[in-house]
Amino acid sequence: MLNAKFDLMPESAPSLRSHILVSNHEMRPLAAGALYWEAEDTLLVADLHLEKGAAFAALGMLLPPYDTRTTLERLHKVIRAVTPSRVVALGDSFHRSHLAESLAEDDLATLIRLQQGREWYWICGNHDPHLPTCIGGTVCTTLTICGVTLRHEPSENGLAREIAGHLHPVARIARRGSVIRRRCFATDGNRLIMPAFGAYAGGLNVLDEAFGSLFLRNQLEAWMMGRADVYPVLGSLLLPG
Amino acid sequence: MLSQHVLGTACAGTFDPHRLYREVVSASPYQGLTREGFDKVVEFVTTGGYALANYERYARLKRTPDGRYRVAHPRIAQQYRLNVGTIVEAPMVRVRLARLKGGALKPASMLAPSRVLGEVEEYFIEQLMPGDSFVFAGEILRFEGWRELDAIVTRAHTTEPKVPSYEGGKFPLSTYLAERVRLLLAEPDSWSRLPDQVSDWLRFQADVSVVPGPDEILVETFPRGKRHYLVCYPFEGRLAHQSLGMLLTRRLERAGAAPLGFVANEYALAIWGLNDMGEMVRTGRLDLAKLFDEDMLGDDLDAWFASSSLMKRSFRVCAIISGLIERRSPGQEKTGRQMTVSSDLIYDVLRQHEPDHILLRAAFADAATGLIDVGRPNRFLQRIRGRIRHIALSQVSPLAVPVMLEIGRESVPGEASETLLRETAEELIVEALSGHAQRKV
Repeated sequence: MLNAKFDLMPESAPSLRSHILVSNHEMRPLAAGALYWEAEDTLLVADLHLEKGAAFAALGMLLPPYDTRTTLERLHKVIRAVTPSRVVALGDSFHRSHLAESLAEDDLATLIRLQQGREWYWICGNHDPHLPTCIGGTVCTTLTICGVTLRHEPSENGLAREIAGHLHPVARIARRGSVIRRRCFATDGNRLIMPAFGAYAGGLNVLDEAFGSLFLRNQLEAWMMGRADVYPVLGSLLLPG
Repeated sequence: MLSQHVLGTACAGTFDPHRLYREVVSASPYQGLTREGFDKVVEFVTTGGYALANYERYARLKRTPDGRYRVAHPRIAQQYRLNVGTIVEAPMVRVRLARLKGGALKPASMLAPSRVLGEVEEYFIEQLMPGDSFVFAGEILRFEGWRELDAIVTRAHTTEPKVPSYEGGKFPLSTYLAERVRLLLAEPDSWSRLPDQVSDWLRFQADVSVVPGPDEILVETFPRGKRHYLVCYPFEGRLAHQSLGMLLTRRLERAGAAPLGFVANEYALAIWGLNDMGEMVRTGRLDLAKLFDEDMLGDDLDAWFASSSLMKRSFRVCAIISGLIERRSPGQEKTGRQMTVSSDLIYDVLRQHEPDHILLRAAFADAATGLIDVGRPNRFLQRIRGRIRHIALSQVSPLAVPVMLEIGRESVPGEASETLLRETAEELIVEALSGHAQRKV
C-alpha cells in the first residue's frame, strides 16, 4: 500500500533533533562532519588524514595532491560558521607524522591562520604519534573536558564517557528501494565515535565487528551526514555492508 | 591506454620520448595525438601531471643525462607488472557459505562461515537485503549479511529465489533492430506473424495501456514499490536513451519530482523518483512538452552529468587503467569494494581543484562516446514535438516490463536521497514519541 504522505516531498517535515546527548552534554553535529560542543565553545574533528595523497604518492600511486587543501577548506568553513574558542583534532590528523613537516607552504599558512585567536589541540593517533611543533597547537594523547574524555582510539571500557575517532564510521540504510551510505556520528549516549573528516578517508560500517563491544546495541544511533543536515537514524534500521 | 604503454616501455628499459612519440602516432587510434598531448601523458606518468607540482620527489620516471626516461625505482616496475591490463572487471565479492546452528536465524556475525562458493558481481549483492534468497553455484542461498568483504549466505529452500545477472551479459542490440520492432508494433495486423507469447504480450499492452503509433511517443507513469515511475518509448537505442535519461532527470529534479535514477534499453527509458509524476502532469505541475523540450540551453547539464554514477564509473575505469589507482599492490589486495569509495573521493577532489586534468578529460571523453550521445536526443526531441501521449496507469504495463528488468541502473545526484534520509530520521522521532520503541538487537 502506498502511504499518501510519501507522495509528495514533505514541505513541512517535523524538524530534526539538532543535538546529540553524550553523557548528558549537548553536542551539535554539523553536516560537514564536525561536532560542536556549545557549552564549552569547543569544536571537535577527527581523522583529517592530511597529506594522505602525498603518502600514497611516496608509494608510487600519484593521487591528486589536493586532498589537504580540500580538507582544510572544509575545516575553514566550519570554523568560520561557529567561531569556536577551542578546536580539538582527535588524532590521525596527518596520514604520516613526518609529512606534517613537508606541508605545502600555503596549506601550512591556512592551518596556522585557522589557529589564530583560539586554543588548538592535536590528539595523537596511530598514524601521527609524533607531531612536529611547526604546525602549531598543543600536542597531547588524551584530553578530558567536563568528565568526557577525548581520545583517538576508543577505550576497551564498555561504558566509557568519551568521544573518539579512529574507526571512520559510516551507516547504510535502504529506503524505498534505494540504498544510502553516508559517513555518520555513532553513539549510544555514553560514547560517541566521530566520522572521518579527511577528503580521502574511507569508511567502515558501524555494524562491523570492530564496533562490536563499543556500544549498547539497543541504544545505538547513527547520525548520518546529509548535504545540509545530519539525520539521526535508529540502530535497528541500519544495514550491514 | 597510452599512459600504461609509456610506463610499460620505461619498465622494459629506457626510452627516448621522440622515438616513442613517432611509434605511438603510427598506431591508427593515436594518429591525431599531438606532441603536446603526448608530453602531457608522459608528465602524467611521471608525476601525475598536476598543476600543483609538489610530487617531483615522488616521480616514477627519471630523466637520464642523454634525455631518455627510465623508471625511478625497481618497485615501480614491480607494481606495473602486477597491475598491467586494460580490461576492468566489475567489482566482485566472494560468496561464503555459513552453517546454521540449531536452525535458528541469527545475525550474520554469529554464523560460522565455512567454504567459499564463488564470486558474484558486487552490484547484485548490494541490492539484496539480509533474508533475500538467490540462485548461485547450483544452490538456493539466503543472504545473511557481510563479514568483512565476503557475503555470508546459508542454504535455503524458497521457491522464488532471485537470479543474478551479470554486467558481462549486457550487450547492445543494433538500432536497426529497434526500428524494426517499432514498425512491427505499429502494425497490429502483423502481430499474428509473431510467436504467440509476443502477440499476447502486445494485445495485453493494448488492453491496459496503448501500443504507441509510428509517429508518437508513449509516456507511461505508474507507482510501484513506494516509488513512482515514468517510462517512455523513444526507440532510439541505448546510447540516446542514456543521454535522454540524464536530461530528463535533470529537468525532473528542477520540477521537484525528486528523481532517484534511470535505466535504458534499446527501445525504452525508465525513470523513477519519489513523487508521483503522473499526478504532477494531471495537476499541471509538470509540463510534458517542456520536459521533452529540444532546447537544452540553460539546463546546466554539465554539473548534473559530472556528479552522476555514470561519470564516476567512467573515471574509476580511467584511474585504474592509467595506473592512478592500483588493482593490486604487494602485501595488500585492494578489493573493488574499497576502491569504489576511494575513486569517488579522488574524483570529487580532483574535479574541485583541477577540472581540466588529463584524467578527467579522458573519463569524460570515454563517457561521451561509450555511454551517452548528446546529438541523438536532440534530433529525437525535435521529431516528437507535439506528439507526446501520456497514459497514467495504476501499475506497470506489459511494454514496460523488459526495461524494468534491465540491468545497468544509473543513480542521479539530487535532493531525493536527502528526502529519504529525512523520512528515515522521522521514523526515529515518531517511534521515540510513541514511547515504546521496538528495537531488534
